[in-house]
Amino acid sequence: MSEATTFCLIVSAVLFGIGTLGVLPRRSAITILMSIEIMLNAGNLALIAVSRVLPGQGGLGLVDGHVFVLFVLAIAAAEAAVGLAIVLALYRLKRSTDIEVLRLLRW
Amino acid sequence: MLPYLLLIPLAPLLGFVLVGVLGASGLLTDRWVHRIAVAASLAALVFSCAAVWEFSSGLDHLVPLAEEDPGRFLVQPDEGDSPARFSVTYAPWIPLGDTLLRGWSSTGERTASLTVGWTLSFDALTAIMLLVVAGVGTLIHVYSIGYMAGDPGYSRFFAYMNLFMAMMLTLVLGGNILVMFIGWEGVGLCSFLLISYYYDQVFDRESGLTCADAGRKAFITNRIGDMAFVLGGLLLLITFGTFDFYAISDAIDGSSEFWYASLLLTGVGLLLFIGATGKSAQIPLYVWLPDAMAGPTPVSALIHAATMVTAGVYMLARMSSLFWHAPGAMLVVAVVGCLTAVFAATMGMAQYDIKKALAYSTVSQLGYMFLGAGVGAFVAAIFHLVTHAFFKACLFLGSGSVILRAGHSNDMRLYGGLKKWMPVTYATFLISTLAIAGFPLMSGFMSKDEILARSLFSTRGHTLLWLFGTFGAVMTSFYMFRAVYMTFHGENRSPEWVRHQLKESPRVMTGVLAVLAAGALFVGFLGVPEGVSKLVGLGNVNWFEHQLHPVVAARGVVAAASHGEHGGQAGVDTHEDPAADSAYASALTADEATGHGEPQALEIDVIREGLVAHPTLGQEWALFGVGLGVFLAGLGLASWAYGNNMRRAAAMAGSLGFVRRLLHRKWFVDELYDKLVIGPFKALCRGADAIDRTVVDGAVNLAGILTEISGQVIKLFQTGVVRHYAVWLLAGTVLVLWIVMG
Repeated sequence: MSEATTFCLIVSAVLFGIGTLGVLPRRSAITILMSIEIMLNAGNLALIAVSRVLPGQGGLGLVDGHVFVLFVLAIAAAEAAVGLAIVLALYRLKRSTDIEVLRLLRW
Repeated sequence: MLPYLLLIPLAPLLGFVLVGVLGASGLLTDRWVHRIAVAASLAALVFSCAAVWEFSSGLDHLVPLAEEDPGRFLVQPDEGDSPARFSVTYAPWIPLGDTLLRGWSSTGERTASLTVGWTLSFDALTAIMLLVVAGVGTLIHVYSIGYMAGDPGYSRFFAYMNLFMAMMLTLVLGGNILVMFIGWEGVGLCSFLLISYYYDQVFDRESGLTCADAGRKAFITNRIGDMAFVLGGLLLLITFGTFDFYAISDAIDGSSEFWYASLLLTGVGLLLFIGATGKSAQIPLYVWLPDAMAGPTPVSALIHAATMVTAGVYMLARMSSLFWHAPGAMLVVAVVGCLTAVFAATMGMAQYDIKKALAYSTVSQLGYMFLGAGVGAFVAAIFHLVTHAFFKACLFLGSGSVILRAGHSNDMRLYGGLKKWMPVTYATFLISTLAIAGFPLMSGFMSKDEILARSLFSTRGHTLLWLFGTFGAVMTSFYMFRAVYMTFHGENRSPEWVRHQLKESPRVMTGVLAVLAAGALFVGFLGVPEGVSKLVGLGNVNWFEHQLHPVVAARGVVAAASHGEHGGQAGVDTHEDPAADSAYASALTADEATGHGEPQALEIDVIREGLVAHPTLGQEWALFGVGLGVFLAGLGLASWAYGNNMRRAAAMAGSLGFVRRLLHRKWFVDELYDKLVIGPFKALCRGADAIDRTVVDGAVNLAGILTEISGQVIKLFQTGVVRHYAVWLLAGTVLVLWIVMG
């Protein structure tokens, strides 16, 4: 494993940690959504980095990682759209995007 | 002949279906209900008569059911010893084929055919039973038209009666134990249904029992006996490898030296006898029969006097070859029968309910039949069954005629002087009373005194049996004439409103009474005992015995182990030797005493005429005198106590208070059973109930409670806050990664 790959994985881990810290203590739904995007992209970075070093055909490494990333990007876009729409609807309902207020699924 | 043998039980079964289905849906008027029911019963009688006629004209011209399949019935021509008989298998039932039986008793390993078929069989015993069941049954159907008129359950009653006929005829015709068992259980079911016919009415004010309770009592008591019957049948199956009656009796007769007095045969005999005590109301299972009087009177006459309760006697006669080879079982049968005869008679003397008095009389007479069977007088037992069917049916129907007119009261204290209003009922009741009490040359005299004579002279009899039986006969005569005096003589004691409407019953009822009374008068002449015919200088004119004897006679030669000193008896012609049995017994005792030495065969002819010592003419006259004396003693005692308008009986009631109460309450046997059997059984049930509620239900409830508690705990994690879920998600992920990488 080359130094470049190790560096990429460290960056990815740091990004994921930032995302996690953005999700867990925050109360704003929008901030949480944004943090989730950061976590997703941390994952993407790790996938690209690993796929470079794995043996594949034509010197490109294994392309599976790239394909994964494309799918993740597409789904993240959809997720952002749906997520923001839900947040908007919740705001209309509760006049707030504070997730501490939104406890409708409790027993 | 073969096709209509099957029609005999099928005709009333069809009647049951028609009356039951159409009657219950209200499509039939009462008139059509009894037309169909009586026609179905009559058809069974006609088919029975036809079958008997063809049977008696010889088995040679029997036509096979199908030409290409002649093996479907078995014909045993009447040659030498073996009785004329045949059986037909209409269809296979349990086609299990050959099976290996091993290790039972000393029979070793051998194959046995466990194929059971829908088999009907026919011999002289079947013929007699068929005619009695179908004949008396049809008469009682006719009588019921009058007795049940206007009853709201008219079609239900006749449907059950037809079902009973079908089942009873199946019982009689059944060629193997299983087919007989269908009938055996079927009549029990009909008995239950008909006892509980007035299911919502209280029949016993003292105890508050309803008719449904009485039906249940009968059913459950019968079940105890049926259990033993099934066990006996299964023992026979694993011993002989077949359920077929003829095959079993041939197997026993064919190898009697091996089976004679074996523990196995004695055990089977006792089990079958316990089954008979349930169905035929003998000690200790007789208690249901008096309560069975809760049913309508025609039911009491048909099921609980003439036919069903005699099924036990019939079964013993059917199994006669087994009992001949199990003298121990026969002794038990004789002793129990004799005790029942006496014991029931004592209780019959103190009943005020006319039907209960007759019911105890039935138990007592059934005891005489078992006494006869137990001392080897199977012919006399069956003959008593036949004569009893006539006079007891007539007595019951006569009591029904009285009950109908006396404001539906069974209490003889509320009768009295009825002969003025009901001359036909009185005449027929009196004839039947004379018959059962043993008036010379009437049917009861012929049959009961024959049984008593046999119990004295048969080598399997005993003087004590005869003494007790004779004592019971005195009481029979007494309680019957007591009933006659209380019901028909003296002054009328009915309430005013009843007295105004007293009159004779309709002709459809009195006609039947007349026919049955004629039967009670004349049926006895079919089986004039040899002793009686000797008195008037005739030879043996016993037609009944001539017909039936081959079926129930003991066959086969018994070879008993014996020692050298008894060897001298071997080869001695013991034919007609009354001491044959006792010689055998002494040989056996000697064998047990010394216990060694080479056994040597001592041949004893079990019966032929050997078992019955022929009494001299003087002894016959003495027996005749005793019979007449017994009759007169009972009559005299009854007329002394009850003749003069019951004044003396009323006076005596005070001085004999305790005895009277003891007898009236039936020796407190019901109370004893309550304490000894029913009480502990109920305690057992309560214990089982408690265990069910605490242990079994507790385990189930514990599982439920644990689930609920765990749910209550786990639900605390369901906060509704997304962030908490995210934390748990993270924790889970870390845990998994730690485990995987770790």
